[in-house]
Amino acid sequence: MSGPGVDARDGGSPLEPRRGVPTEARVFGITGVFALVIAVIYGLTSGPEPAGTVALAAAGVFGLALAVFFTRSLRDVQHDVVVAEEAMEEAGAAGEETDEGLYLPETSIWPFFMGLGAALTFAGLAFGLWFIVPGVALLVHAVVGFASQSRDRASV
Amino acid sequence: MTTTLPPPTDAAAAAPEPDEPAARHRREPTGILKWVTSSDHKVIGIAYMVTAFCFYLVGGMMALGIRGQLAKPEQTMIDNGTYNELFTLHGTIMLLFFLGSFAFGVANFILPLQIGARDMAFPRLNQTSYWLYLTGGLVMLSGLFTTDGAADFGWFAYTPLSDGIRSPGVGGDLWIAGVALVGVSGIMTAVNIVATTMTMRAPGMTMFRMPIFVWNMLIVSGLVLLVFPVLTAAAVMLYADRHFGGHIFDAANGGVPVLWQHLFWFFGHPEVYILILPYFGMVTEVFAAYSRKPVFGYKGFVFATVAIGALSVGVWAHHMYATGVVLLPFFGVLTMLIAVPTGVKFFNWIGTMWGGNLRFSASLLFGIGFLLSFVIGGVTGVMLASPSLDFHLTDSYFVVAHFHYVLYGGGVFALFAAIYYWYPKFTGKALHEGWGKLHFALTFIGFNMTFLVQHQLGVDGMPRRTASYLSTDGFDTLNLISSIGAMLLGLSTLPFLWNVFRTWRWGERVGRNPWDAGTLEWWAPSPPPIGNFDRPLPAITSERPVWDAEHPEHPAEAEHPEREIVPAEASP
Repeated sequence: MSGPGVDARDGGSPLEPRRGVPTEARVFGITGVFALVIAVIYGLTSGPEPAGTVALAAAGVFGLALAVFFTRSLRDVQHDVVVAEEAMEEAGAAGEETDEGLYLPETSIWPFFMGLGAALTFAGLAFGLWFIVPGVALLVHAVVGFASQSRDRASV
Repeated sequence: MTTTLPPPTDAAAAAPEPDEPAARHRREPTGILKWVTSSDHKVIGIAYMVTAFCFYLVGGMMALGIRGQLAKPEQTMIDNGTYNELFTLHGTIMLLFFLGSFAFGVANFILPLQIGARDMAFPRLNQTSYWLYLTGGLVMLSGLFTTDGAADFGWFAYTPLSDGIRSPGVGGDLWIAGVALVGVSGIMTAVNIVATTMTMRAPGMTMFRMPIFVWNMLIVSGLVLLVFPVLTAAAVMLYADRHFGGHIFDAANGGVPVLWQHLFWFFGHPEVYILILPYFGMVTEVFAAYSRKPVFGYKGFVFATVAIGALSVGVWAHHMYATGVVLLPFFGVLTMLIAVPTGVKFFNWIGTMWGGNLRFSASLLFGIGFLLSFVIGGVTGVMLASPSLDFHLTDSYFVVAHFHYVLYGGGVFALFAAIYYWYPKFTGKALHEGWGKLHFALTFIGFNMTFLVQHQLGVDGMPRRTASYLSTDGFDTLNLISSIGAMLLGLSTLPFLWNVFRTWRWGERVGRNPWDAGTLEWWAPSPPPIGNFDRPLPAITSERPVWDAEHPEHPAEAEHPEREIVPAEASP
């Protein structure tokens, strides 16, 4: 059990006590360290063969980068959810109109057009400009629409 | 009548419930607009699954064409060029557009429910990923309608065969475009799954209380993030070689053709684990639910999954032994090591069923079929990991039999187990058990008939990817058996499709938890509404909170005296 002294900003919470490196980070850390170790062994024994050595080393670095990120800055989301739900309950008890307080999905047509635009653009690699030009136009339009939908929503 | 099983006795599961919870609602579009615009993870999940199953049917028809051509020696049912297109597209569709994508569909639907979340972390990214996947598949298939035909260089597109001189025409470019699109789509979904798992778990859902399926999807997503960019980068290089006069893989100008093999298999081998690990997770849930026991050796299973994920990045060149330029002992040892965590999982699965209160539903039968078939694929995998054996067997039908036992016997059997298991959660209705058992019997017989004999064909020396053979080669009988089995396997899909249709038309609704399972998705109504949960979650004190809530006579601490119990209602 956790004591009251747990600092929520370190990713610890009374609901999910953390000891040292959180499990989330360990999963990627273990994989990253392992990839680095075999990158060294493989690099020394294979010649070095460049493609595999570089790919393994990159895998190791990326795994460790994720591990460091999760250790340092994983938000205490469990705590946030509890706070949001308590706020909702209080507002509901006071008879106010409540929003969920949680980010529920919103319908959007833009992903469909992004898919269509990307498909036309990529197919244009084979078929030529008369696919690429409308494809890129649609893709750019969809990305702008996608982004402004987020902005509209954030300003509500 | 919905099921031939005895109805579950559990009170909470008895009555069907209304779909809409009182509070959380939003005006949702219906009909076709719902499938195009909804960013609800359940709609996207079902769209993924249906699309992937359609690709399975397309890829399956291609396989039937291949087996029809090979049924007898010296046939000319399909000409050689078309044959090459068929096996190329069959492989690419089944690996990139069916098995992995179906797993992403199940994960989209089930994973947020299992961790008690209301949606995925990035709903619209999720949608985008679906549309890139669908259009990627269509772009690749559109090659069939071009004058030069679709790609025909095999699903791993070895250079120099796939370069601009030996494979001109748009089919190859469309293949590259499709692979790039589905690669981007896979990366988006993986980002989504990692973010959801890391940040959206319900209070009390610690990492070591997550269902095994969630764990496996997390590891799979990590692997996707590592290796899909490599594939996409390699595809771009290949495109540059084909069109912009790049000499990356061009030996005549100082390029290195085998570099393509290194890059492709650095993606390709982890891809096998990306395909199979989700199904390990699904089948684990199936075993636990129908044995009415917790997963045996939960932590061991998780560590085994992490070990498989870590080892898988260091084994790619066991596909390249015969090139003569790879380090044989290194890859032989690492490949054989993977058998260890995989063996641990077999102990977990058997231990989960051992002494359990087993209910032999169609789902569990498919699970047992998975165990029997996958163990053969695993053992032949260890055989092929030995370089001295592989030099003789590589690119023979032995290899074909091996990976079909892994991906069909392992992947597709577990996939059907998962469909029968989660169908009530997807639609609110359970599939018919009798038709399900017929489906299982046909699939199991057809599958083994098709692929078991191919081991012997490979040992006899039949090479893969040949459009025909001579009657003097001595391959006649086994090929005929294999082709009959393939037709049976194709027919086995019909009872399943009929089952889905009749359940849609006449199936009866079932309750929240028809199988008396333990994980959180069974706490939500069937099918779950927008926002997923219409009542507060149970206290999450173990990896099966619903079981703990519905069976207070079996308290979690009695089963796991060593586990620390943290009450979910504790607040900071």
